[in-house]
Amino acid sequence: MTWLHTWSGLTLGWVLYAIFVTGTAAYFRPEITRWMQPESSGVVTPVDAARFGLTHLHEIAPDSKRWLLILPEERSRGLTVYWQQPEKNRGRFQSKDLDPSGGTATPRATLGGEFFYRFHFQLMLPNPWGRYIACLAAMFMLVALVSGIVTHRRFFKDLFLLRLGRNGRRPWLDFHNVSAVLALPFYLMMAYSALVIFTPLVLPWAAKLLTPAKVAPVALTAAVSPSATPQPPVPIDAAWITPDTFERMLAHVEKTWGDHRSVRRIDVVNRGTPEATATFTRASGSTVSILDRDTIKFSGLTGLPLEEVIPTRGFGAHSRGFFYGFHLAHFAGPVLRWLFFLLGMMGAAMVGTGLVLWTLKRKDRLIQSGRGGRFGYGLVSRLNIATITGLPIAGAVFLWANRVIPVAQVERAETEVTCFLIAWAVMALHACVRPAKQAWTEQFIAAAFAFGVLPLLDLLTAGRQFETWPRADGLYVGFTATLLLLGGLFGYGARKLAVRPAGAAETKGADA
Amino acid sequence: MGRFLSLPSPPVTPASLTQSNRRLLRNIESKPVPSSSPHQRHGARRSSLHHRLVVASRALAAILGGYGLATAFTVALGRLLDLPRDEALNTSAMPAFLLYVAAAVWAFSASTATKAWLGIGLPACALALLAWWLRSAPAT
Repeated sequence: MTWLHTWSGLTLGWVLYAIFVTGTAAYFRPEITRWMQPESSGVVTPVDAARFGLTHLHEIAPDSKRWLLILPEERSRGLTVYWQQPEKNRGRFQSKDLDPSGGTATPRATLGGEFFYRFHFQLMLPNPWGRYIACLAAMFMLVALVSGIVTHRRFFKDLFLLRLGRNGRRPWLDFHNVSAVLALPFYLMMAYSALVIFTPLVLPWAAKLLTPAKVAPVALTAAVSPSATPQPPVPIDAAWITPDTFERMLAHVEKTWGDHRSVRRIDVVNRGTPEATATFTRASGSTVSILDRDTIKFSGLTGLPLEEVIPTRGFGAHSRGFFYGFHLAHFAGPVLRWLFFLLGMMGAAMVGTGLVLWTLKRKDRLIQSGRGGRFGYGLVSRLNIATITGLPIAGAVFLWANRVIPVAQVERAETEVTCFLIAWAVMALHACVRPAKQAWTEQFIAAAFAFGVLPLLDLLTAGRQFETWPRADGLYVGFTATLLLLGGLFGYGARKLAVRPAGAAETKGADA
Repeated sequence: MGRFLSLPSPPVTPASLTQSNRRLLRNIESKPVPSSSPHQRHGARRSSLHHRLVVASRALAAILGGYGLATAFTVALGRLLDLPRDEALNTSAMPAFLLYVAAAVWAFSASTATKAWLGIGLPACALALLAWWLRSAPAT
């Protein structure tokens, strides 16, 4: 079992670490976006924002078949419009961030918190592959957790066993155990719900084999029959959904949902065809499940709500909705969200210390035997440095790039991502060319600097656009405090590393 | 396939023990001590290769066998439940993931690799057969 724990944890350990770090950051996806777009602070109601966004889409994408609007809500102030390009451009989606208050200062182009969110499950790989690897990592993590539980029978005793004073690998092992035991239900839930979210992706053959199951032929003919009766010709303008029609829908939505938890998302499909519809989705409420979201679907021709056949949702759908919602944690209020954030950081620390433990154990053996297994040891210890400290540094550089790159730069959002990748590559290279201990220390110092100085940079650049600074709110304070805390943690680690004798400690597990 | 099929467990002996001491210990314990340390890798190259093959076999049993088991279970249960597709998939996939984990743990805890394969393969085949048998169940 120990063997299984070691290898299921190690094989995709670095991927798991990256998933933990970016996923933890993604709990504050809207907040990160807001920090990265200091220009957009105009507060408007979602319905007004929708009006503005729709008018804008009429101007910039009049002949697109599909529009999607993500409207501002309590946590995110921004308005993002998406539109699908024509078939000849492979139907790709384009997007644009707008200042919903209609101000002149368009928010700077950035992926914002979306970058971390996407990285969390797509790993910056072409579409299905990142998700496949993320699912595989989730399965490996489940196996590592279960085999880890079996290995540690002295479960509750370990909880109170933190021998920090001792040298060698003892403190590492203790920290690994404590961080694992404390938040075990959280890790189990996260790994399991990840698989549940991607069920059709994980079990495609099962999905395929179950498809013909009991689809009654009656349903098929019912779906086909409307086309048999000739439809009245539709005026071409109406099919593209006129602003007046949208106005009717918005009025209906405003009346039905009111101000609290208003519309969050508008999905316009099949524009220019008789099947044109617009689906309005309400902001998520306080329930865990994602199924409890309200939607209203309108006919694009008349602007009247359509009678929707609500599918009967059974045990499976409700359970999946619960796991899905739990994983995303949209239901969580500020306190619970911070708790999830801390648990996520502990998860990263658990994976990080686990990875370091592998090298510490091997090191003892290598010293005693003097031969064999050096390549594997070298590879793992370099990868550890490149990931455990390299990734947080790259993340900080991503934030730096957001403040340093000129606002008007072409392909600005892409340039930020390029900076992230270059920083990570440089850190990986650095980890390979320097002796391990120096590489650790230097990268801890670099991380401490990258996070610790960011608030200063923010202050300077905010000074440049001084009009945004007085609007600094709790978000800025919280964000700055978090950056300083991360910088402090890395600085503490760097100091620990610097004072210890070379053989005593190899690393300090990163908490970012 | 015999006594080499067992898995590496944590080094129960200090690494300073000589190889002959290790052998001695292996004979004393009912479960053989695995050849995972650098000493033995060089000392007994053949058994090391064998050992690696066995580990690979168990890993395949865990990953591929477990996957087959999970898929067969999902289809079989999904057809048994007699629900619409998405509902059937959601309901039956959730226990299937747990079964996958259990299969992976089993693959590395069974005393031999053959047992590991049998313990996963037999239920998978049985479930696949059940799923196949249920395929033509009349629509209700």
